[in-house]
Amino acid sequence: MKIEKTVVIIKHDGVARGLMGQIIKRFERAGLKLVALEFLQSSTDMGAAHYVANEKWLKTVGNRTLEDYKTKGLDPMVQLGTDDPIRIGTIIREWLIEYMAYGPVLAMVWEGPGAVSIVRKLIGDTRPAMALPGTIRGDFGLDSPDLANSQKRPMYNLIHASGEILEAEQEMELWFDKSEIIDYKTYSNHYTGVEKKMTKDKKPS
Amino acid sequence: MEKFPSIEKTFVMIKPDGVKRGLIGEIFSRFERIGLKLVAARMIIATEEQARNNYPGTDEWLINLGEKTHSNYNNDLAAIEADMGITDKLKIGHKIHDSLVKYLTDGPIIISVWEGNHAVQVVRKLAGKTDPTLADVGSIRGDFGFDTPQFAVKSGRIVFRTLVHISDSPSEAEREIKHWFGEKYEYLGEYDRIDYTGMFEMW
Repeated sequence: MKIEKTVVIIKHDGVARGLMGQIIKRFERAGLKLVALEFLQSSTDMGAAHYVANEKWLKTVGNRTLEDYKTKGLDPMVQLGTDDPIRIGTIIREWLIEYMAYGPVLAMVWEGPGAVSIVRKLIGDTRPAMALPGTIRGDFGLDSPDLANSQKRPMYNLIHASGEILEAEQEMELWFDKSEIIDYKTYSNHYTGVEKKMTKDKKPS
Repeated sequence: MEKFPSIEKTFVMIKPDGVKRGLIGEIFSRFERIGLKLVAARMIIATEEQARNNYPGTDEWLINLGEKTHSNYNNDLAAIEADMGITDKLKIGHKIHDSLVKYLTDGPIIISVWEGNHAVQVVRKLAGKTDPTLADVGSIRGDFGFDTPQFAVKSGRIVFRTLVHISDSPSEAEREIKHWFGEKYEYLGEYDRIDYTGMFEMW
């Protein structure tokens, strides 16, 4: 497995609810390594650059809402005035952009073997109400698309994490200067597959 | 927060041992759950100069460090000589200062500023006594450390690992925030810890 880096942003609901430590702890205990961290106030410009408006992503976001409405028997035309996934995705993107600048957020880069997918597994389903217990969103949230949409706001799901390696690279460039990403070894490197094996004469450094 | 004069800011550094042991989240959650609010934080590698100037470095301060060593050894000069190779208090002070610099630059650190009612005192209580073996159970150092001055000397580190550095007083906090964040300091405390808003309600 390749060593990857992935961007994790604890959004303002996680900050205001005092869950930063809980969230960091879960990545640490899984064996991931924190390589960059900054507590910052973002802007809507940053939000717009972060949530890139490509068709595939808008469609995914829109379809997620449509799927949720279907299981709950809600009519998207009544709720949002459209049943086009891309238009729904565009509406939600605007809310997300606005929310990213609502209050300070904690931006981080985590590193480890297969970090991108490991982080997504630990975080759980985008919709906290559907996320499994044991995942961050499943343990600390209960929001869902229908509730969020009816209040004309994005889902409060605590965290943003990169979806794939390419996205992680783009997001790292957006949120951090190269010099802010730190290379070092944790004491558990040897047991988390980052290094081959621990020998008696070689103390972890 | 101007109407609450007891609201203070305090500086907290998670030292390289805390970062490398994967205790950042554990330490952050202890401050969060008591109701403190994070107002600034970043991960950095301290420069040697930054680490050195974190301490006063005056002769008086250095000699005081030497004196503490003497008293830790119950003034047994032969034992001090055997462990450290020197007995002079000023020289010991310099050796400790150098080791402190080495400790703080041994890996990345998290620098942070926390705000809350009597934040300086509350954080001191949560961190526990400097010597982890004497720190109360339930404090960060009491729960996560067993290092002692003697153990540190025997293992060649000289200074013992304490996981966190915290401010002694509000004025020291101000100096340390300036020292560690410098130009990059931006106060981000204009938000509510929603689970603690009741603390600030007027009845």
